[in-house]
Amino acid sequence: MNLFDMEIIRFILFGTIWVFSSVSFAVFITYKILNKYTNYGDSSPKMDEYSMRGIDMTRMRDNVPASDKYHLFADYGVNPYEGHKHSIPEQLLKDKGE
Amino acid sequence: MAVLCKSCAGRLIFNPSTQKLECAQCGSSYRPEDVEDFNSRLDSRYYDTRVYTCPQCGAEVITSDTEVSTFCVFCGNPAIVFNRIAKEYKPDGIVPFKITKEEAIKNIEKRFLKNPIVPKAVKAKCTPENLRGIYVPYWIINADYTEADFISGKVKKGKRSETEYFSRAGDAKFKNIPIDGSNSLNDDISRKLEPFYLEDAKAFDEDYLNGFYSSASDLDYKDLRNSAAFRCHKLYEDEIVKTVKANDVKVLDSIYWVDIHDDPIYMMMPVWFFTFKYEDKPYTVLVNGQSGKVVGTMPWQKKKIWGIAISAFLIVQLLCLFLTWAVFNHFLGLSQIFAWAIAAILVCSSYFSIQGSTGIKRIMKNLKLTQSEAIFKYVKRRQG
Repeated sequence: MNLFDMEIIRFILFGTIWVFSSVSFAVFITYKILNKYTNYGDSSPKMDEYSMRGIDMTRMRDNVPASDKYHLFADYGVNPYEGHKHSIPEQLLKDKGE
Repeated sequence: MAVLCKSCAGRLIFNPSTQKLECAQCGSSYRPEDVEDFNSRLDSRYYDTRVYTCPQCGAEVITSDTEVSTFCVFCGNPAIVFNRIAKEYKPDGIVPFKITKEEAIKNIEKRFLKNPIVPKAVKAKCTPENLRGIYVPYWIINADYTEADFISGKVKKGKRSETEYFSRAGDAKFKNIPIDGSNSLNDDISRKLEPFYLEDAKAFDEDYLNGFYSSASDLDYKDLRNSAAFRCHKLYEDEIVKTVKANDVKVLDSIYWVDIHDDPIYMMMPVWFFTFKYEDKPYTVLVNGQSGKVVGTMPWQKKKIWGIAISAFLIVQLLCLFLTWAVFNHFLGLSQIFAWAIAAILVCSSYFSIQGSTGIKRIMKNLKLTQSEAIFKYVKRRQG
């Protein structure tokens, strides 16, 4: 490989990297400007607004094998509230009407 | 139904700034709870609303006030016709408007001032005629909740990072979660309108509706349970991923159960709707009528945005070319420093690429919500 070929390879390599960097910066700056000037109120309350005690953990296992998923869903796959009776407001019944 | 002034029989309109009913003719004011609703039976679970129809565009005006809608604010037709009296289920409570129409306009305009991106044509549309105050139905629920999640994340092991799996399960008790009671209003938008502060809630009195439009809940219990489960799931999921100490955490699969406590509360929440059309596309920007929070994505001047993006591209390109040239030509004998600068740009660009592209995706999604035809029609059906 002669010196000319090396120069071309170097040019293509750096060119590609710089185009990627420039596009990344351009996309990021465009996002920041759009977010600041056109995107309003893009947030919603977190869990602590609606729950005093947070999550009561009943299972917390790290670094489990992929097959643990089936055990997890076997353990928690049944509706724990099944059979709970509720009084439903009239407005939420399909056959409403006076 | 509309109530009349005791002094002059003029119509009374609820004023959010004074929280009183005010007579447009003589200026007298009354507290809503002191005004007797002649047309409403206290023991009735329903209240009367008046439905008007615009003969020009077909829009329906739903109002409990007899005179508030003397013209169609959607098409401008000055003669809308009374159609029928409809009975609506009486809500348990109401959070009255606190933000006046003028304040809502100011809150939107604040975003426009010195804003080089939003088109002038849109700025000109921010007028009182394009703003409608609508009481949106919500269900306030308490619920027990159980969820199990199978999660993946990348953990550093020496110089490499490996994917690991995590299993999590837990219970939570939720209190006073507002669930939007209208199928037409997108849940993503109604969620962003929050929080609503229930400390300001009053027992429902139809006098608060005077001067505003309203909408009734069209959910059934199954809809409510599904919406509540999904809402709890979103809140729970945001928290559970924090318990995983890894990078690039993803919830691969989850299963969740919700149990809504008895007697969810039916409430009316105040929302200002700013609707306009730009380049033949409808837009709806919302303002929380209690807190003044503005929600929505404005259209932008495409030429300016392209100009900014191309300028940023060219500036970084020039900088990169200079740094490369400086490294290879040992400019000022500082080629080592220039080489570090190149490395820094490369590291930053990966981060900027991910942040920028996910951010723009999110803005485009929000823009689609703001352009939702369904929300535009929702306002139109309630007069606008």
